[in-house]
Amino acid sequence: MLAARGRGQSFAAIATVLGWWLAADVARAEQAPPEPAPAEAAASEATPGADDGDDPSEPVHSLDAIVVTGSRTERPLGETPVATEVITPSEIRESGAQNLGELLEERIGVYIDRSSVAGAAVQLQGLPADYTLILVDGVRQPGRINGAIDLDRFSIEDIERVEIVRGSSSALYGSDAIAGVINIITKKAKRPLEIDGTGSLGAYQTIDASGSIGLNRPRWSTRLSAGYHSRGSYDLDPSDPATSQSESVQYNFDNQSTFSPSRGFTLTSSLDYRNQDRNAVDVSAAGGALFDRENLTETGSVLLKPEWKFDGGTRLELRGSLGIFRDQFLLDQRGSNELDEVQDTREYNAQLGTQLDTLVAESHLVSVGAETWYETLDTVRLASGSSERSRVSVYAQDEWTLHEGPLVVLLPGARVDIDSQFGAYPTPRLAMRVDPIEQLTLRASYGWGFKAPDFRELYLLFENPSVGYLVEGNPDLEPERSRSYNLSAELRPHPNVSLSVQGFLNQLSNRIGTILAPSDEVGPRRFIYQNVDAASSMGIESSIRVSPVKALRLDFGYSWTRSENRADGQPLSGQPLQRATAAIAFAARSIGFEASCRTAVVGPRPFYQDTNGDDIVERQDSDPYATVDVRLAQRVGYGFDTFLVGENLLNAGDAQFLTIPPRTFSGGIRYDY
Amino acid sequence: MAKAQHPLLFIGVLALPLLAGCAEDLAVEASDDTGDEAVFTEAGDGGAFVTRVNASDMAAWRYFSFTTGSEVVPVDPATSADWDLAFQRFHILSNGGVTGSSGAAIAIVSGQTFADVSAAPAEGYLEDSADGDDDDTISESAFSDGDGWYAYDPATNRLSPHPNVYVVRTGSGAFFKLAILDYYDAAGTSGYPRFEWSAL
Repeated sequence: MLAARGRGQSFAAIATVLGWWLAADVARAEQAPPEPAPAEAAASEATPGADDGDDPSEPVHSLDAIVVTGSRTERPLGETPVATEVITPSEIRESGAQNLGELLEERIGVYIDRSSVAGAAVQLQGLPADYTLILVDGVRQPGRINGAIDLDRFSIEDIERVEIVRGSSSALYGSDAIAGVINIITKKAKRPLEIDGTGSLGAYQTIDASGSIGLNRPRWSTRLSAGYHSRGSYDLDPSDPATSQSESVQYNFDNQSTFSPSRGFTLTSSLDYRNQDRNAVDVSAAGGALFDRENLTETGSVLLKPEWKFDGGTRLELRGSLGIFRDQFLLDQRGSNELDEVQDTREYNAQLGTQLDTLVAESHLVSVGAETWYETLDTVRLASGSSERSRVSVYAQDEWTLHEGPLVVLLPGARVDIDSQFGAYPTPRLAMRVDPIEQLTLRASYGWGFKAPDFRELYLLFENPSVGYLVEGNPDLEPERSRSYNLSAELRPHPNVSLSVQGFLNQLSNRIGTILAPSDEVGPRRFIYQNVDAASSMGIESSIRVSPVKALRLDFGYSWTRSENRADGQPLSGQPLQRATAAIAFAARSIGFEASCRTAVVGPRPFYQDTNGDDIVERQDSDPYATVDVRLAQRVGYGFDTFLVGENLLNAGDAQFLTIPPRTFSGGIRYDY
Repeated sequence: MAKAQHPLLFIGVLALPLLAGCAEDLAVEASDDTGDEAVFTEAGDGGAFVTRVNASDMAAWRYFSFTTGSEVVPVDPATSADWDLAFQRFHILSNGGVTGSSGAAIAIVSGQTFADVSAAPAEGYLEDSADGDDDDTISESAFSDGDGWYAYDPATNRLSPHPNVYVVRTGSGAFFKLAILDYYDAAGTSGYPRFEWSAL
């Protein structure tokens, strides 16, 4: 408590200093030349983009921004046949987020679930985290814990932008891309010399410090960055000694380099290392045993990507990458050694790929590619202690521009994955884009998707000695399958207004779940993985962006998502039926002041647990809640900015269903050269 | 200039995989060993005794004697008359029926507290019988009869004893009453049945 008061005082000091700067700048603003009239400003520079944000320092018409995820080729956002949402550098800065989990928290159509030990798990289109593919610069990321990749491990200082493609993209990316793909595009050096540094302090031992240096020369560029991020633990249920969320200390290094010795050839390399140490206290519901839990997680990856561009628009790319994920899990029982546990899990993967894009007969942009994937896993949890598998895939797609005005584009594509465990699996997709008028874009797609069974589902042998239950993998599992339908419309009735609405239906079959092996006795049980379930998710996501004046941007979003288990018609666990978001961003460039506020309102979420011992789960709905985050930033000159961030201002959260951090304030300073 | 950067870049790239996995190996502290005895008996209320058995092993059995109030390690449990009850996890057997040669049997007294039971029932004694139609391969005893000695909460995985009193008729013809108090030790570890008992 004393420590908390100490932090409160330092926060007050930061607020006072910031307040002084603000006052000084308001005085200066009164003498500043008047800004151009709103209409003029809007016509010349405001960005009517569907999903993009305006960045006053980089006045780019958002529809010209390059995206890569939807069709796996570099396309201007305004031309891509597959709807792609982009979180731009200015939106990333305005959010005040320190990692990807925080960044996505208040986006429409994205739900971040922080209830599991895995950290921040993302849910798209009403489906759990294992149905969303996470890429960094197009490379599949290792390290799913309980099916989810922890989005908090991706620190904000290395993220240039984030691209989100909803709906099935298995036809390009293969396994896991059922509900969508989130592609993190990392920062590269753009200016001859760039240096930046950020430091911030906040409540709950929140410390964020990062810095980078970048060099860009005619033939090469390199950017080296490092970050340190710590979060204290917190406890939403003081009645027991358990913590609600781990304390976490992470440090990371990242390097992105390019080398272009000759015209038309670029070699891109990327390497990164992250070390995250999480500590928590757990209490066993059964016997009341207390545990000190530690997860020490390391991820490292190397990517080399030579790329040739030939005259006439032909492009050839090779990709080779190695990824390592090591998770050490330790349970140290207090007062005894009996239930102590140490598990060392190492996951290695190697990926090789090639892709050729070429323009055929002027109207066909044809992409063909091949990939190999090799993965090994060492863990005591597997029956054999370690396992390996490989997959070879080929894919092709044709972006066929049938008509230029009005624009009509057809995008047929297909991919076949041949897996060492389950054999061949094809995933076709047909997407279409029609712009009946310049202000309106309509898109439709139908695609197959699949999710390969993971090692745990195939080969796990897990005994819980304290209770005596057993979970067994099943090497005969088949991949989970999906059929996805997506429809969307984007309307830009005025340069300052854009609207989008998107409807989807995903039908999943062959879902993998555990079933109880037959038993007639109360007590320890045996569970085995099977392709048992079918499920579906459907919904509508809509958003409006209005920029009434250049300095102001308003965003509203609403989503209605229904996901249900086909067998019993019950909604899937933890998925909210309704969610609404709003954001307001204000930027007064002349005085270097920015303010933004983001909010998300989340409806009740269903959870299932057998609370009365009759072997039938009972449904319990969590309370609706709202989160509100604000950020204020002020330029102070010489390349420095100060900022103040308040997160979860309404102090939402409960120990049972919503273990999110309580209200937190932090403040810091940023330097950019 | 560019060529000079080139080898540096690649040395960096190749060195990176060495980094991952370079963190220290986690290890538990060996210091907090409880040093518990396998079977520990202390005086309880009203002249009764309270015994805690370390039955946490997934396979091995612990043997207990009312006569000594302590652990017995019989050379051949099937023929030994030195032990009265055997424990493995939540399984409890007696030295009679299909389990042992001593002729022990157990009666279940429900609806009375441990203190209330002052005399052995005249009848209702069950000897251990062959494994029933369940998913273990362990013989049945009075402790697994009916609902068994415990209630299982699937939400928490907790085993809680039913408020039954068991009267054990040992092979030598002596009677002991017994009530199970708990299945967890002081550190919360399961597989540590603790029971109150006294001679009748």
